[in-house]
Amino acid sequence: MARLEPQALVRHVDRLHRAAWALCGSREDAEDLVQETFARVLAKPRRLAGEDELAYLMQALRNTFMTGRRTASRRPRADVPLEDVTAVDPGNGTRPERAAETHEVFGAIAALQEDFRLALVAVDVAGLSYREASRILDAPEATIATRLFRARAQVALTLRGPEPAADAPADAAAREASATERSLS
Amino acid sequence: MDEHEEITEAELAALADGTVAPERRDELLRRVESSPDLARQLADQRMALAAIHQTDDVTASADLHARIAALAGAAQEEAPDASSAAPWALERNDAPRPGRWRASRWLRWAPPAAAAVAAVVVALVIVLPGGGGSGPNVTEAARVALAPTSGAPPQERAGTRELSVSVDGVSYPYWADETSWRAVGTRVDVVDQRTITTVAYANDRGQRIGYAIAAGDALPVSGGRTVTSGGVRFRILQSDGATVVTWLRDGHTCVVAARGVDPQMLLNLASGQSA
Repeated sequence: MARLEPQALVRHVDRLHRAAWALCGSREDAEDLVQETFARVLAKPRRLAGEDELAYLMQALRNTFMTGRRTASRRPRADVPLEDVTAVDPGNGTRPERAAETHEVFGAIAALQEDFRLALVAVDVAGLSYREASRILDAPEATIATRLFRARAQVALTLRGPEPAADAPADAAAREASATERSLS
Repeated sequence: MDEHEEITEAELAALADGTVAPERRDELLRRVESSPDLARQLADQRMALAAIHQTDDVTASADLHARIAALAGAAQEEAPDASSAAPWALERNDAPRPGRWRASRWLRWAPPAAAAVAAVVVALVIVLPGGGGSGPNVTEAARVALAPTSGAPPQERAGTRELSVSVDGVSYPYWADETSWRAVGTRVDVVDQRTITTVAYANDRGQRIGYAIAAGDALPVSGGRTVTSGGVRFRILQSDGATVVTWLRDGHTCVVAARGVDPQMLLNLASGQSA
């Protein structure tokens, strides 16, 4: 069995962070989850029993998530509540819409029922194979594939969003030319 | 493949992500192409995958990377000889008690946490009107920002990333190149003797954002939460089922309001434009 080298694990931080964000629905909770996962894994020497490092870490992440859930982070939400809205650093080149789309996608995943969410995070977010996901989630590959199908269908439905705004026809019908004096008091 | 054999959800999932067995792929595609329902289901699978893979370049914060690196470094130093290490099996129930995430054991390993790199400052700030007289507040400005618009959509002033509309020299952003939000109309309201000009933006999903700028001094605002970005203070609040983001540009109140749009999206648009 190969020894798990602590310094070699740090290259998986970004991928684990994305997986954690999709599990939790919150970037802040995801950071806590990733940190706690690494703390557990690095607490003592480890050996890989045939799996690769990422699969090992994903199983650790999943275990930590499952046993350390808190009500606040377990409540799935599609929208970012005002408390979690944070400013994007305008100097880092991040497109504002792109940052919000990330929140939206991970929020949609976090809103899934748990078994669908775990399957989708393991395969589509973390990049594990169906076989690896089957092992860490303790379910047959066919079951993983079916959960993936249903999870993706639900994510697509969520991301498609609401029907076009009802006031769109009203814009064309309004046809007001200039200033309108109103009192809202 | 028997024509009467149904395609399973598992097969559709594998077809969408390219892991389907090669010998079955062509037949499955042929079946999908002849069935509108299967085609729609496959399209949904691919849509979800595309959205998820757009997040593949999302990275963890520098602060988290630093903390994990510190953990790993400390563990590397303290790791005993590999030959004496016993194998460890992940057990389902050996995790810390629920709720201990923030009282982390990592403190045993890591040096004091690196300073936060986020530029977020939370403070309660009340914006006072400059004139001292009565007039609309931000909530009322948001109400007109959400009202239907009229008139031709304003165009970009060539090469400026700004629209041809402005209030006292304060311009509206042209977002269509960088985002899916395009200007679709304008309206001008006079509320308690204050002129508020709104540009409405819409995207392909039918969502709408109203961007209002009030002429004259800043409008009063209360409630909500303050976020600072790039030295600019943004107030985020909820009003009448809408999310409202307000801030000052050259002393003028700007309001971005929308219903059903992610608050983070609104703030990102406002703060990106303010950079």
